[in-house]
Parts: sequence; structure tokens; C-alpha cells
Amino acid sequence: MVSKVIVIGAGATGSFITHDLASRGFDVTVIEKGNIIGGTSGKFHGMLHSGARYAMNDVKAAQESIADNKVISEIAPFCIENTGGLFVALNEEDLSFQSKFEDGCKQSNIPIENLSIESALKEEPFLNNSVKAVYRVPDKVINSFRFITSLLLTAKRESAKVLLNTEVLEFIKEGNDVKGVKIKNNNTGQVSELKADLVVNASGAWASKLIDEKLGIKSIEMILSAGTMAVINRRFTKHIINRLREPSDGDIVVPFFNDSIIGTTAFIVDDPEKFDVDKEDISFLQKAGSEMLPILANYPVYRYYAGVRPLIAAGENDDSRKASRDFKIFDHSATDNVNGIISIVGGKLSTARIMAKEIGDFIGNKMGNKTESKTDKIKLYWPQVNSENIDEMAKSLSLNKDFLSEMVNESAGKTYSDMYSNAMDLLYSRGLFN
Amino acid sequence: MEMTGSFTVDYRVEKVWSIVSDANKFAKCLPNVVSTEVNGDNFQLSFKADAKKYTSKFLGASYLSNLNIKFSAQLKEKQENKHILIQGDGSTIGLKFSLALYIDLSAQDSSTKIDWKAEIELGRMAKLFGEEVVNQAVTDVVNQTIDNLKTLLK
Repeated sequence: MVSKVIVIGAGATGSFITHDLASRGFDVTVIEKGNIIGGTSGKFHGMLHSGARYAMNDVKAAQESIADNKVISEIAPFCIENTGGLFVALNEEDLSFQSKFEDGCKQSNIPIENLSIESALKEEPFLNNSVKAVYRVPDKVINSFRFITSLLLTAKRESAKVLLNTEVLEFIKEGNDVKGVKIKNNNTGQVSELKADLVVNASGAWASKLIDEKLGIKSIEMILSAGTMAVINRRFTKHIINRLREPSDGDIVVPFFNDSIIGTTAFIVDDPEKFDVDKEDISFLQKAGSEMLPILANYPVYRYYAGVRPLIAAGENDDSRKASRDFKIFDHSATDNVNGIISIVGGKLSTARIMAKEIGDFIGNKMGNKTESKTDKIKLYWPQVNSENIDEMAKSLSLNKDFLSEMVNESAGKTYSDMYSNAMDLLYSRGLFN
Repeated sequence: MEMTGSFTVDYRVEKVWSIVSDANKFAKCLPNVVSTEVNGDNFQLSFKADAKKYTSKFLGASYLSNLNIKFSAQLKEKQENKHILIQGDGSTIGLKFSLALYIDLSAQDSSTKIDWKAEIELGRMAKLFGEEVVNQAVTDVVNQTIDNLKTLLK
């Protein structure tokens, strides 16, 4: 009998878990209370890490990042701009990290290239011209809306059901067993019940609150950390620019379409939806970004945003620098004597596939499904409109053929990459609703 | 949280006073100061602290390896060569803390005994890192400050 699984949360984590489980043959339904990238997955810097950022102090994260950087580039090239990244040293202190950086990248199998100052400034003329050292790394930019939409479209083709704008009203319980969820479609107001063999709580920053309010489970002790990004609406570089030092505030500038996103500062918040960004952090980010790209000081910050992620303490005997993963699976049958539900907390978009694979293995073992994950080989589905299929595509999207043709032309004319076409993203995301 | 301690330096009380009563000089005793703004007895500092050993208990928190700390304070209760209070507020990763540092000097021939008492309100920071970790962090800062003071006296 096919096991039924409900995944709560369609961020990068929940969407990849949905795809992973559906590809193994599970009967999966993913429920998302908002829209695509309405949560943390839509409020990050837009970077698909090469792992170089972690190479100096978290080799495991660095190794996983470069591995998934390659896989995601293969299975979802349509949502990636291969910008490359540069790590730049601006002073003697930065230079003191050179050997640690080189060693960490080597240990993590991250290919790096030490550029001459002259060639770096030729490639990136807006770079601070007093730069002392420059390394090229395989950082990339990812369109998270398109990435998550394609994951969900792929999962749908694998028979998963995708319910957006749908919130969990309560869990269906029989004794100590969770048997499903009662849900409400916020578009139609329709309330219904879904039964399942297992519920996976992948609601990220909302994970603890959800099961505390609905099930009285208090075993997930999470602290919420918001990461602030400041946006200048001009793009000055081809590459992502990283400061050569250990991870700290204000160490990246990501060129995202025509914008420059400066990240990040971290601060602790109580509620993932209600918090204020400190204006001083925005000034700090602009100053930190302009140390690498002085021209950023000449333009106003035209918007800023913050994404919230959970901080989870490692196990009592773990030191997270040595712990093998940056996420944690809470099996509530073991921790709270509540069966039929697990929670996933932590992780990051750049390594969501590896995390989903491990969670899929955990669920497979629990449910007696020994099918192995093949998500590293499955090309994600993203519609491609061409002269041969335009009639069929127009029909499937309920659009006039000429209108669809105009939209495709608009997308093809985008600077840098057609992955920045919001029109195509919105158009193809319609496939999730029919 | 309250911490106390005392130590003796082989310098006259007037010399020690010249440092602890001068915001510019006192700021130089504090570790990892990135920038200092002094206006009379008021001063603002920003620190960059290596926080790995405090934040490593959290999974995937390498982005918290280094923390920026802001601190604004005022020199108060000045009694020349005897007593001073350094009182201020600070914040890091959106968490606020306050500090009242009482320093009492007593001349002992050509040496000076320095008794200090720090009253620290950590708010949510204690919850985040745990009392023990914060105690260790504060002890580290105090020890480095005393070392820097001794170096400056030389």
C-alpha cells in the first residue's frame, strides 16, 4: 500500500521533500498557507552558494554546497544565472585569511582561481581599486520563485498534490496518533480533511509555533534569527562579490537582475511575521557593501527586507562545528509521545536537495519504503514554449496564442538571463493551480 | 548579573585615574574596538567579536561567527583618583544589554589597588546563549580589558 504523507510548508525545504518523496512513490500532498516564496525562501540574498563562504569554518557545509551547486545547475539550469563569485581582500586583516581560505576550499573540493588585481579590475571595474587579493569561485545566482515553482511542478507530475493558500486549522488525532489535518483553502473558504500516515512539519520559522498551538508540543526550542538585506536598484558587477574573511555581517553583494543586494545583518526576533528592521543596519550594510564596491555609496537604498530562519541548538553532545548537518529532524513519537508527525528545522536553500534526500531516507525507513532518492538525476520540469508546442501550451495555460507569444518574446529580451522574467514565472506557476 | 574583582598595578593612582577617567584612553583598554566616537564624557564604541565559541551550539550558525556589538556609555560619579562609574547600553544581533561598571581606586604607596563591580543586564541574550556562556564571554572581556589597561599603563 502506498504511504500517504502530508508536508506542511512549501518553502525550499518542504518543496524539495515533496519532490523527493513523490519521486520515491509516496502519495504526497504539500500544504502552503501563503503563496510561493511567501516565507523565508523568498527573502534571502538570491545566492546559490559555491560553499566558499563556509570553507574557513564549516567544511561539511562547504562540501555539501559545492556538491548541490553542481547538481542544481544540472537539474534546474533555467533558474540560475552563472555569475561566478569573487572573494576580495581589502586590507591586511582580510589577507590574513588567505591561506585558511585556500586550504578550506581545497579540502572542500571548491575550485578557486587567484586572479591578478589587474585582471580582476578589468572584469569588475567598480571593484575597490585598492583591493589586495581576489579569488574567483563558482557562486551563482538563483531565482527562488522559479526554483520552488519548478520543484512543485515536477512533484505534481510525480502525482503529488499542491495546495497553496491553504492553512492547517487543526491536526486530526486519535489518541496519541496524528492521522491527518483539517485545512482551509483561503481563496475559496472551503474546509476539508486530509488523512495521512505521516505529517511532515516543514514550516521553517513557523514550525515550533504551529505544533505548540495545534498539538501542545513544546519540544522544539527555537530562536528566530532575521537576516536583513539592503537593495540598491543598480547592478554594477557580473560576479557576486564576497569579502574575504570569516562569515560576518555585510560580507556579500549579490547582483540580482538589475539590482545589487547587500547582505546581511542578523538579529533575533520573537515573531517571524512581526518585527522591525533597524535602520542603522541598513546604513551599516550600505557602508559595508561600499567598502567592496565604492559606487554603492552613491545610490540610495531603495528597499530592504529580512528573512527569518530558526536557530536550533545542537544536541547536548554535539558541537555544531562538528555536527554532520545544519538541520534537525524531530521525531515526535520519540520526544513527545505523539505518533504520525515529524518536524524538520534548519537547513538552507543551497543544500535543500541533500537535506530532502536525508529526510526522505529517514521517512522511507520509518514507513518501510526502501526506494532510493534519485533527485540528483531528475531534471526539474520547467515549461519551454517553442513554435512546435505553442498551440498546446496556450491551450494548457488557457491563454490566447498571440498573447503567449508576446510574453515569450518579452522573456527572451531580458538582460543577463531570461530567468529574470517575472512574467514567465507567474505564467508557468499557473500550472500549480489546475 | 553581578561580577566583582580586584587587582593591583605598580603605578601611582594619578596615572591609573588619567586612563579610567578619560573616555578616549579607557576605550583603548576594551578589546576588539573597531571604531570610537568620544564627546566629553560620552562615548560610543563598536566592537567586532569572534563569537564562534558562543554561537557554535546552534546548527548552521556559521553566519554568527563574528558579531558586531554597539555600546554607548557615559562616565559618571567622578571622584578624582577615587571612584568612577561607567554606565551604558549596548546591542548585538538585535539584543540589548546594559552595563554599570563601578571602579574604586585606592593608593598603596606607588601602587594602586583597583576594585571593580560590574552590574550587567543581559535580557534575552542570556536566554539565547545561556548564563554560563555569557559569564564566560564577560569574563573574557574583563580579563582582556585588565590586560590592556596594564599594557597602556606601561
